[in-house]
Amino acid sequence: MFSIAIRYLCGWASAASHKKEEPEWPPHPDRVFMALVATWAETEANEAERRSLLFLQQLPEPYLSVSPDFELHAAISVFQRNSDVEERVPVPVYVPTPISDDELRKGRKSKDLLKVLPSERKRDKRHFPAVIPESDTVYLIWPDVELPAEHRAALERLCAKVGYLGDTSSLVQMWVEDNPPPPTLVPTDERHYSCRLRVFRTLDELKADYERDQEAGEYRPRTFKWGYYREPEEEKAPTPSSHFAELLILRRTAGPTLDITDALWLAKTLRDAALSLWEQRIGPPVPEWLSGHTPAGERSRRENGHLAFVALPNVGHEHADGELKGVALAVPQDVTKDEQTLLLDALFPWNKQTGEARPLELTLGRLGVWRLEQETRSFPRMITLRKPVWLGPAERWATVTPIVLDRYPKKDEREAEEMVVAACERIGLPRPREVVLMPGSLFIGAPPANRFPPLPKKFGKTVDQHTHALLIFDQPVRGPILLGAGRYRGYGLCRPWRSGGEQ
Amino acid sequence: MNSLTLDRLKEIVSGNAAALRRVVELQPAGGPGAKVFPPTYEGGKYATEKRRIKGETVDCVLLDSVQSQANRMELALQEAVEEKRISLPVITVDFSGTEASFIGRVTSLEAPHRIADAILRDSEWNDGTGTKLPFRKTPAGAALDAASLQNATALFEYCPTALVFGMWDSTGARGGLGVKFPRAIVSEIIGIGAVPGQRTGGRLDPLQIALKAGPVYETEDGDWTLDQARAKREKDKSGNEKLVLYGNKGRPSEINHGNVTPSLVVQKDKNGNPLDKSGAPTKRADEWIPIGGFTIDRAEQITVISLPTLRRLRFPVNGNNDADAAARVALTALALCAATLSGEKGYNLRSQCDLYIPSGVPEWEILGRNETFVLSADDAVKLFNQAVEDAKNAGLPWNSAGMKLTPRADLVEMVLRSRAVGVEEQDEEEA
Repeated sequence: MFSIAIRYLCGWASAASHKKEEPEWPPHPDRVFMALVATWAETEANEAERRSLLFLQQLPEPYLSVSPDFELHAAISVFQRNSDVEERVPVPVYVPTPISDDELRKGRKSKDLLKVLPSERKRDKRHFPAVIPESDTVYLIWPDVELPAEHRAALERLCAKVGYLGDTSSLVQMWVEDNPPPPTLVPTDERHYSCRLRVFRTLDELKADYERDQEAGEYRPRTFKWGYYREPEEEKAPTPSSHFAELLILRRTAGPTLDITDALWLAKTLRDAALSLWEQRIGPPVPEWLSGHTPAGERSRRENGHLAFVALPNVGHEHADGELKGVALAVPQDVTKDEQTLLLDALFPWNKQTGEARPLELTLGRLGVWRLEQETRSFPRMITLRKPVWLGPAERWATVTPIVLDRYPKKDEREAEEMVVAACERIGLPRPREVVLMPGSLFIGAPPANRFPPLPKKFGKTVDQHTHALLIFDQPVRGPILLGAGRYRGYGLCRPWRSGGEQ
Repeated sequence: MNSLTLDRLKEIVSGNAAALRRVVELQPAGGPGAKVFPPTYEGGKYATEKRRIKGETVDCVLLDSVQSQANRMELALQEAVEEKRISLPVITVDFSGTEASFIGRVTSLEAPHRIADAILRDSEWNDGTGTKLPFRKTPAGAALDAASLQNATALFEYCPTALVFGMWDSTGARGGLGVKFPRAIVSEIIGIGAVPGQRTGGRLDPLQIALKAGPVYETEDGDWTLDQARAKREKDKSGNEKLVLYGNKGRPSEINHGNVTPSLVVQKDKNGNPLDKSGAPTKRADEWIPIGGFTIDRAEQITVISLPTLRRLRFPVNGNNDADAAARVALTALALCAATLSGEKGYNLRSQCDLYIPSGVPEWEILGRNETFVLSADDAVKLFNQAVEDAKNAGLPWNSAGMKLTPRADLVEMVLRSRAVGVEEQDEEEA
């Protein structure tokens, strides 16, 4: 095993993703490789160093150890009127722009010419997006590769010569590390399940790009190689978890504003769309794990339950307003990756030519259409769309949408608490040590239980017993946690609760 | 406490240390917990962030950005050059003999793009024989076309600060592909434990003029009067003549007298209407966005000098690279000098944002070597001047006399015309 370590010396990492005002985090392996190649070319173009680069480029994609949590550096909160959300964005900086010969010659009549003076210089809006990660050091790790002795010295020398990564203000120290921490992101073939990062191109490709730019006299767009990364599986194993294993998050990119109390309706709409798209694009029958019904039309008795449809609201922070930002599919543990991929391919058909998935359009009656894309960005800016926010693990969990009890409790609160305990056990969780029922949610932005519409029931029953709850387990457990009678339809959604407030 | 000698600096630069880093603890001039006013960005907002400090998440606010710190360091160097404390090549464009003499002079330490700036490009140099050469045809200007990381000798000679603060020759013949030198020093100041404050505006009138002292009338010549006989008269809609009140309501406050009721300072649009977070005017006071600075526990200035960035530069002299080490040491000393001199000037960042160092001379860490040193401004100056001597002895050129340029006649003419146009347009706006 060996790794390349990168320490951000100012405590923050500044590099723009393909959207100029958004930061790139984690630093993409290709960015690191490019920095090494540039260092090689800009210093002596040493032969031993070149061979070490050739050795690197033929390695498999590296594992990464990187802080999943970060804060934006020097950011402001802005209100996006079109999507009605408040977001943190890097501050726009106005920098003096160069004045070209052309501008000077042409613009004689304009008062802008005075702007050649430093104090009057025209300024253009620029973003220098940067993140402050929890830990300032990142590792690119090859767990199954030994660094051959012949390349070690050259690679160490090359690393030591890299001064910055991304923007020139993003100063780093780089070195070869033989004892890196365990990876937090591992490469995967499953494009649906994680984030998309640029991975190493070859030295020849980079040289060809450079020569083409020199010839053209300008920088040209280029094609990158993309790799997919997910959290390592090992991490989940020792933590007790519900029988929902995976949470696939879909981000709303367009469409009307919906409130958290529309969760039930939105989940039903998504379920209907999923069933019909499966029939259309994969072909009947719709599997039991997806529909929740046996081929004979009876209610499914699968041990691990079936697919749950969850609406994801913006809750739990100062500016939370309970607006739905996206949806998620909670996948039972025994549904294989292949089966999940079939479903995702049905929802988001892959366009081979562009290498992109087509968005899913969810018709919401007269309200319009929600356009959904799978959240595969490395770290979504919107907290609601980050997986760890819903998965934990954590000891304390609290409801965001209320739990629907199986029946109206006849005796007292203890009976209701017992029903919630049973609901936990039903989805494979250990018994919680404590259950506290309450009419309101602990999360800012989530309304009281009685504001949520009742679950439609068979046999004309309309009385619904909705309750919010706080669950405390003896040990951290992993989500997604969906409890109660409405768990497949967006109710009983829980989120880790950290005492004294949100993360 | 270790101080830094030239020999030690040579060891550090030629060794494998990654960087020199200094964290300066600062306090608001008003003492701990006093209010400071950070720079505002688009929409009158402050740049805030959360940092992990000793395991805790702490609210922080940006007090001075990387770009702003670089400008402050360059100005500190400019001052030191003028005081003759240091010897540093600077290129100056002197407008004083021209009709645009009001501009004074612009140096490569002030021009936004350093030696690659358009002002320098459009100036001329008298080569001593009476011939005027455009800057880019002079040895210094032409050096930009040939400069690269492998050959930074000419830049070292004429504008070494470009190698420390970074430079991109994007206005030259090669446009966007012009030579780029990454910055080697990064500094910024953040306020830690930042709590947004609320500022109130108000005024107590020493004359105690009361509202009842009015109404104030407007006179025919636009002045004000209390005398109804002198007041301007107008006809209202129904044709009756009436006296014209000064301003909207003829209050004493409209001629800047009387008390002003204290009120919250909030974000407002052009017409003075308070705005909500979406940028729309609102009358609801609970939606107004306060502008009121921050109280902070303390501030921190973090300065990092990247040694690999400087080690990447090469300085061939007469075809050999024997002087590389001496040049890199001189540039590192220049960066140290810029950081310490700027610190010596104090931390008066802007109005209502004064900071000071509560105690002692801050330490520099040598990252990768687990060592520290302290460096006062005087020592930094001494070290730098020694390092320059050393570089010169190694054969490196150092144009400490600097270069004096005069603006091209076209440039002066353009400035004059622009100024005239500017004044005219301003008149139109006022009319």
